[in-house]
Amino acid sequence: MLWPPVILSLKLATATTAILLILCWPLAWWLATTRSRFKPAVAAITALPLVLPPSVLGFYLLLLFAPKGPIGGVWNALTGEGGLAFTFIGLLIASCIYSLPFVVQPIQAALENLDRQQVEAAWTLGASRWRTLWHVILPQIRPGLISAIVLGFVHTLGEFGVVLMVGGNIPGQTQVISIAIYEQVEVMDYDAAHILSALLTLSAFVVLAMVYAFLGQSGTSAGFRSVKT
Amino acid sequence: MSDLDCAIRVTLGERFSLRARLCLPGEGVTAIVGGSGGGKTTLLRALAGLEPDVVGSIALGGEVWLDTVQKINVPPQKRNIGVVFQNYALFPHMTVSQNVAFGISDKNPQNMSEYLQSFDLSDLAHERPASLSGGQRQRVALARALATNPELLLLDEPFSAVDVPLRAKLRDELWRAIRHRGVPTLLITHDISDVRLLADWVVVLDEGRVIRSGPTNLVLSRPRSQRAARILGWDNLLPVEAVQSSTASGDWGTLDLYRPGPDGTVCLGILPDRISVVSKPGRNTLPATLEGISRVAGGIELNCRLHDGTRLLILQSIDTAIPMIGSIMVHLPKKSLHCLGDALPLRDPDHKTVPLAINSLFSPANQEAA
Repeated sequence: MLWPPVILSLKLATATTAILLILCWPLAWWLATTRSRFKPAVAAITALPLVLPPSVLGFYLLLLFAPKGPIGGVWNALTGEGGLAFTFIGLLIASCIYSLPFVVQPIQAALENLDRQQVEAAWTLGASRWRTLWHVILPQIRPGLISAIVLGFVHTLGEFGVVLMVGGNIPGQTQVISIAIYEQVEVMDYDAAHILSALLTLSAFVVLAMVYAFLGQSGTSAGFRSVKT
Repeated sequence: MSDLDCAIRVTLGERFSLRARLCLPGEGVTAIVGGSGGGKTTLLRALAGLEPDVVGSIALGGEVWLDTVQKINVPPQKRNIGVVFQNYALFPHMTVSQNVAFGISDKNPQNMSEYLQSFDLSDLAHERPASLSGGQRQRVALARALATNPELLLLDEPFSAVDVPLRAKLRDELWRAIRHRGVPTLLITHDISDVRLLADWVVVLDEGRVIRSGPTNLVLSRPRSQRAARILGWDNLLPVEAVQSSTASGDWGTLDLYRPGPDGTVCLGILPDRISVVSKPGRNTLPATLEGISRVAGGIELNCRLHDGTRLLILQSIDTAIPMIGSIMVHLPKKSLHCLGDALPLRDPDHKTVPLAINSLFSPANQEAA
């Protein structure tokens, strides 16, 4: 049964990337443009998953997601399904938090590199904010946006510590590729572990190679090197 | 054309605030001139609606763009203005024709082709900004700003990104383009040559305050305050210690004045071309030391120093005999001597009355200065 973890991982990575793109856009815009005194604090919170050991983050999330925890309790009160720990929804929220800086920082870097006067020039030419976003901002931050999508997706695909702490190892529900590989090594099924590991390595390599090729062609690496891993 | 009325206050942090009351003619070119950090660009951005924290009122003709009492703030998209930014702010991912057409709703290729032709941009229509020279970029920025038929054109130091030889050519192109279309224009500059050659009206800004405004010839020839004179490129400012009746004196000596000097005079200003070198001492002559001679546009420049150390520049025509380096005698005609106050104009007969929406914005001192 090699495919269920692969499908679950792809589902988790796709959902995480999609959610983060929507959530991170306003956050990245704010971080790139604000002069607020709260910016350092918000930037530090955003970057925290980069430096925290996954087990630490996973531990705190586990406490928060427990049926009597602050978030898990609310979820339980609303749905009556217990806490968020060891569920796909819990896994999704944990992935979003863990991969947040990998999506925010490339978009933020691209927006910081954008000439603010071009946006203002578009406004003075009568362009609405939506048209300015679509025709002036997005075409110019495309490399940063693609970096954010790829990094968010690939990073979610390969995460282990947080997933193990929050989701455990429930086949079909929370057992993603990395957990499945760990389990197969534990039960000495090296063939299955090889297949999944090779699949993960190859897909990550292909995606990254494609991105580097694209960034090389577009003459920029905006945002891709900005994530302080 | 209707006038541009503006009474605004913009605070940027704790260190700078712009308080400007202006009533500018709704035609021709008005230059906003001042030193760096004087508030020129902030004023332009406030007029364009790009500055977020502006208090006061702005109206072009009968159309109110900003009135914070009435809670009116028309966004930049609706102000129908054209702006040429300092770095031109061209869209790098678009071609020249796409840049120019960005603000036009009707993108008829025939019209666009004719329009580009009028700016000599036809051959560059499919080029991207990165491959253009500084002069070509300025033409594209100007064409883009004028393509929407704006009611007001705002130019933020349009020549600062180009070298000196190209400036004269670009200045000439700009002058022809805006005169041909007759769009009222506000030109931000720190270069007095731009003011002299392009502007009909000039406003002098210093540390966020309007310290002089009026027709260009009048303001350039009578700055009325020492600070305005410095900004307007007056090199010859003689510090005054005492004014008695029709004479002014300082460490450099005593000079007769054409009219009795007003109270508050802190220095005398005189233009370099009004001073002459004479052979003998007489009325309104001062001893000086000629330290250097250089050839400049319009004649020969003599770099002198009075015996108290005050610098004095003299511009004389090429056909006038050039004196020897060393001691000379200079004549400063009393009709050419201007009494200047510190910051406030001593009296400003050409001052226009501005209908103010928010009088409380300005302290009495600022109202007098404006």
